[in-house]
Amino acid sequence: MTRISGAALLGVGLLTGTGCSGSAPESTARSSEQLPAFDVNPVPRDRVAEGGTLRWPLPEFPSQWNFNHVNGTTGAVERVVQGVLPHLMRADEKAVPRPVPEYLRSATLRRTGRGQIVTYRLNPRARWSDGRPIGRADFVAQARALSGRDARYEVSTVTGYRRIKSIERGAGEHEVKVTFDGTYADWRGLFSPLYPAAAYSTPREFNGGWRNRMPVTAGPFRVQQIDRTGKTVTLVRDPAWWGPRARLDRIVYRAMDPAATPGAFANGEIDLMDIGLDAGALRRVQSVRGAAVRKAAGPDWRHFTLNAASPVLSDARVRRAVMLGIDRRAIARSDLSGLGVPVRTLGNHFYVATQDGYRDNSGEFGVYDLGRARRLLDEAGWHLRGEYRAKDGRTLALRFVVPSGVPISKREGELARAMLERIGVRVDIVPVPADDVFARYVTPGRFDIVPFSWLGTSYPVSTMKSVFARPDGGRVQQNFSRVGSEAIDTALDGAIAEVDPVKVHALVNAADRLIWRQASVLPLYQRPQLVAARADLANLGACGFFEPDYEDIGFTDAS
Amino acid sequence: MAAFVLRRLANHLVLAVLGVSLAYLLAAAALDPRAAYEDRTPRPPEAVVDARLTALNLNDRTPLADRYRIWAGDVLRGDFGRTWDGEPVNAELGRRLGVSLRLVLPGAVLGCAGGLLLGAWAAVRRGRTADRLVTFGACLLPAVPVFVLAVLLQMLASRANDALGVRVFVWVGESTPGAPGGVAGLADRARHLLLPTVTIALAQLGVYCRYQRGLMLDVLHADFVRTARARGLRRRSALLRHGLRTALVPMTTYLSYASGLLVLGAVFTEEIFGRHGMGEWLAGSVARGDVNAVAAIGCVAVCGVLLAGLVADVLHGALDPRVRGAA
Repeated sequence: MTRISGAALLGVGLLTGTGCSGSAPESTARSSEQLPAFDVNPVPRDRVAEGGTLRWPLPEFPSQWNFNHVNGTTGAVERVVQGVLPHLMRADEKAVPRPVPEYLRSATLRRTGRGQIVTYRLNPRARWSDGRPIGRADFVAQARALSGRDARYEVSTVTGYRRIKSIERGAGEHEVKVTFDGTYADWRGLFSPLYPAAAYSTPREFNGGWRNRMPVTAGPFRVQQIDRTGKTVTLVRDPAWWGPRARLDRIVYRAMDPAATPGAFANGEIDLMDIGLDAGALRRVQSVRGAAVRKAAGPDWRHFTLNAASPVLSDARVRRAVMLGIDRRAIARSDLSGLGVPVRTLGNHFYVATQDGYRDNSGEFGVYDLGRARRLLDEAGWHLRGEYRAKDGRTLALRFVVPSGVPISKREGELARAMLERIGVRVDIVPVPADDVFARYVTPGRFDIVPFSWLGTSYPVSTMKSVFARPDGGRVQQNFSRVGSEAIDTALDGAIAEVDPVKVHALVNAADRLIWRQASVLPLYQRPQLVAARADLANLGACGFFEPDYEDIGFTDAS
Repeated sequence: MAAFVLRRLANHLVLAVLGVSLAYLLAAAALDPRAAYEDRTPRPPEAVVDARLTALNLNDRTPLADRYRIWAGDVLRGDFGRTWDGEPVNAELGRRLGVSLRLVLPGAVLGCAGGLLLGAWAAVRRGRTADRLVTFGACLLPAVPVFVLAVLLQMLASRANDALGVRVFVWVGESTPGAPGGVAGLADRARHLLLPTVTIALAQLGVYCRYQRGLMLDVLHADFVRTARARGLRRRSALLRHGLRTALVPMTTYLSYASGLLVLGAVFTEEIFGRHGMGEWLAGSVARGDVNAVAAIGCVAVCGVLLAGLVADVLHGALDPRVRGAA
């Protein structure tokens, strides 16, 4: 019943659910070796029928529609506001952000002595639904609210906005110059979504003004109704939209438990649904008439985190031996069985294989090599005493923490136990209540190995820094391995401060190779994204990193 | 009878205060609303999380006794506080309770009435084919988990829709979004209610049927039924007026308590049919560490059980004069 196979940590750019569009290159789609970066039904706008209602499930029903509020940063909010609020940049299938012409003509970056200046040329026709033009005032209010300087704003994160020094008018009325007091690589992620100045001008408005309502919008759709009893949100085409007219008449979002979606989809009551890694749900939707299953490589990745602060695993040689003793391919094959997707292991801690900048850095550390694993353990002083290895009277045993009721994690634990037994390491599977995994076990460090998924974003460096930065005293942030090095920190800080994508990739990959060497997190595979959709649904489906243009979504058969 | 009810009420009030307080303390001690924020990447600023939790009276760094005092003071004024995302619990409780009652009531009434009648009928036909069939069904139904039953029904309905070429059966939510009001709207709601009602009715039916059959068998050969027959009553009226009434007395207690908890117990039915009622709220709130919501639901459960107890007593008293005298 649980949708998260393993406990998935929630990240900011929740690009996981269903819904992205674009054109998957046919050649890659056909080769069975690798999943495409996105799989939708790409149809040019003029061949998409005018009209129709898209019925789209939401995993939960948000009450806070301010995405930057600490309670609003969810995938469900994002899925709705993408259609009604300005996004200056949207990611393509390789996670490269590109300007959205209806809002942003261009954005140029200029390095100054120690900082950078970004000049945004906005689309002069861009207006809020209350008639005000989108412009500098909105930038100023958003940057001030999200800077973290006023503690009354309950912001979900201050990354990036903290570094903004000033915002001025550029050459014309529609030009905004944003000055940063340092360099910031992920500046393209800022101001997407952009909220109107009135919404962010006071903490009161910021915290409560967008609760259960979206008073001002500026997108291809506007909000018609938010039904808090039925937990539905209805968007309708906005006639004031200055861009290409939206193909759909309406989008109806409905909060629904994942257990309900296969039945609802089979009966034609919703038009698309996320299958997740549920082979049962896949079988059920495959038999539905007029349905198509769209498969792409998703942004999330599954891994084992090793606790380098535990007595046994504090020795890097033991961690390396454990990693060499685990057949990643076999685990991936088991997790993905029944889904009909190719099995490939992941070789990077920051980028997934479909992302710009990805390199397989697993090298000598990510292979399955029992001989070397045994030698490393011998070197570390753990010698075979009967079935298992021991040192100073202590048996080499690892606690493998799994959330109970999540079969995929349990299976991974059993596989790891069988594999590590061959090199004389005992694995004790410790099932714990799913809600307690992080609070009571992983965060306090009461584990040796824990499997879960990291949610990928288009901006992996700023988000993953808290996972790989050296723990500062008791503050481990999300570094559950509790290990790090100055070299990794330097490379990551350099990558965050660098603005040339090529150099960013080089620095991130350098950090990644160091993380492989330190043997703290073992990536397993990039999670595939499986989405069932009505076969005539165009420009939407399994999207990987791609963020869709909502005005192009529609049906090819008039309905 | 009035004094009897009043005495019971006073007892129940003390029990209610105890039960609700325990529900809050248990929820506040066991749940961890902070975890939901700490598991996110990037993690929200600590000051924001603290301020947020304090504003909602959910901060685990405030002593439990203080949190309980604040909460109890609010509850005495009729305010259950706010949910984890800042929504007033009272309003959400009202909406959810409405959804749950609309979902559960028709199925519960149908299942209960059907079960009692079937059980009584099977008892009368004891040992014959009809009895065996009913008994078989009544044993099978409670053995099938509700979610399996619901999914099976959905598959059948889906098949039927395909075969008919028209979507006759729909079940997601209470109504189609944007459906018209008036008679057409009511028809739409009724259509959405069909499958969940059958699910709940079938899930209830088996248990009631088994109980009623057993109780009925006990009284069938009791002296008073035989006396009634000897006085010249026909078998049918002797069974209905003397047998069934007596067999119903112990059932009232079971029935009241079962319906008192039914509103919270429909988690699976709610989730599979896309309803957002009390059961789904409880499950979700526990997972999110939403203490105030859990406490409010606990309060509803306590009130529901006590109210059911009261109803059971009254019904029992109405059906059996001896109880009134003894109390």
